Amino acid sequence: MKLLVVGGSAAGMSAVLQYHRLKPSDRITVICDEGSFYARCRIPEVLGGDVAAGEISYPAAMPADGRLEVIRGRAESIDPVNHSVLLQDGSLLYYDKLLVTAGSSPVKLGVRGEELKGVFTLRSLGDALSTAEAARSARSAVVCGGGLVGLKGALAMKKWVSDVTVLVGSPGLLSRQLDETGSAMLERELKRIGIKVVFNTLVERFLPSGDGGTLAGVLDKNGGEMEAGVAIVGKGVRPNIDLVSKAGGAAGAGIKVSNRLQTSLPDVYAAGDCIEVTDLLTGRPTPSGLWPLAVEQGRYAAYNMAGALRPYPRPITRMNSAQFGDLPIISAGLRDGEEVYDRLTGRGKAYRRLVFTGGRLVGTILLGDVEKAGIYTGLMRSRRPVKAALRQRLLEGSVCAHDIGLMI
Amino acid sequence: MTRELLINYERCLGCRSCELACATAHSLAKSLFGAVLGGEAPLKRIFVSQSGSRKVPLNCRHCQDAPCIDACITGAMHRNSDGIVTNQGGEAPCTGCWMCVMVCPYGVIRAETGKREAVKCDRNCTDHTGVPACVKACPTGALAFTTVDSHSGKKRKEFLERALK
Repeated sequence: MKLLVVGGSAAGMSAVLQYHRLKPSDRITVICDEGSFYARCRIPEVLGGDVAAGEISYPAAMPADGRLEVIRGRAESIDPVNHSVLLQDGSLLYYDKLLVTAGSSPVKLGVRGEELKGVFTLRSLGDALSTAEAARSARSAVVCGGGLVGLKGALAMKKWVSDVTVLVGSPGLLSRQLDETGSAMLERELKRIGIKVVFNTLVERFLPSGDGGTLAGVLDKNGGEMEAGVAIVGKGVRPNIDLVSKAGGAAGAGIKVSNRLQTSLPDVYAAGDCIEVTDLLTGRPTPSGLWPLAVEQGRYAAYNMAGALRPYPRPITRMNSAQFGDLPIISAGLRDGEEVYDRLTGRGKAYRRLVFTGGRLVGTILLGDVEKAGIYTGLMRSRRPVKAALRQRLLEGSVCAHDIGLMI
Repeated sequence: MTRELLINYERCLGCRSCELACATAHSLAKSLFGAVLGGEAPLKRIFVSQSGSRKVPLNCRHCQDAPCIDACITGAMHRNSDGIVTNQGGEAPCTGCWMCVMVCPYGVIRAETGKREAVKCDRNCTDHTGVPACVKACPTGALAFTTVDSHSGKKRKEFLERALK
């Protein structure tokens, strides 16, 4: 049996390590278009100069085994009939089973000047390094987008640039994760750090400097002009479906897979950011797009490819944790529903917002105090009805695992 | 056969001796007064909560398919050679992203937001017989460190499956 894996990030690596444990005598080849394996979520630390590029390796070491091979290259196309993958350099690799973990790509703004030197997206380690280089000599920086990547980028650039402005299209920060109160708390923290935030504005175009090829400023939709030596576009990501869809595999927003992580092509599996999954809470197909889901899917794909049938349970596709300055944030599930409760405690320092639909917890926002967040997400996964007394405890933060049915 | 930490809720009086012993064992001074006098704020990794009429002492279960290991974005959270799930001494440092806090259904990983580090039971507190400090300190026998019968192992797995799937 020969397993071929396209992509070497969270899903690919977790699949390789798990598959190798299950079938140690099978040959595994990983095709990776980047030079190293690293923890993608940590690239803002590299941008901020907190760690060197070499310090975010993930996994730190691959099993030393001749049957495990890594090829640097880019997969161009799949021939599902002949069970082969063509690489950009013209070489052809055959597989018995193929796992596609092609990841996702940053969405562009699609405005003039986006190609200028100094305008970056923050997706790869290479992106982080080039952005850091530009930031080191810049006097001012602009971030387009108030999402997680944009804000992490803004905080990281603040280490190099004193003047950092975030342009947000919506009226709130982390509009997919937070409500008005949460956004206001986060905005206060960003202000304290010295980051400027402008809401309800979008970039009209990026302005070149005298030489014509380098970024000098940003013109926003309201006609305002600001200086910028470096800019990050953080408008989210889109699953890389082309490899599978061009081979005739089914795809929507992401590659479609069965609950065994199998694509519609024979012996071709897919996992991670490139696929869409059915969200547990909405029942709708949604791009997967989260690191923990990618790791988990890689593991499930490995089991299924190894012949142990393990159906992949529907995941919650919106689940994020982060800390900006001194403010920790965890947000999971839906932002709105039938019943919404919120509470500020600890002299306004901790905020909890819970969303219930059909008597079940479907959304949680925790700011300032994120302790026991896993009990909330566990409760969301279990889909069990939540009575009034427990809702109270959830709001107060006094809940414990025993309250959600743990008896061991 | 490996021993595990079992909880007998009926016996717990909520005296929090386990919490103190845990925090002390993880302090540099290794004694409560020493730690306090030395300006340390010892951090506990076991938590006694009130649930209805019960007192519930709870710490890390060192799950088999541990969600915190899957969720860790740096590779810090791992299972060591003793089977203990810990974010210390692994391939990478913990950076305090709180992914593990977000997915632990037992709610027993705490977010030290000031230190930007997740703090959890690491069994780095055992005496020469291998018994954890919390168990040793428990005056009522609510905490026991013993080999696990297949029944309670199964029950625990069932809970995790219910909570996670």
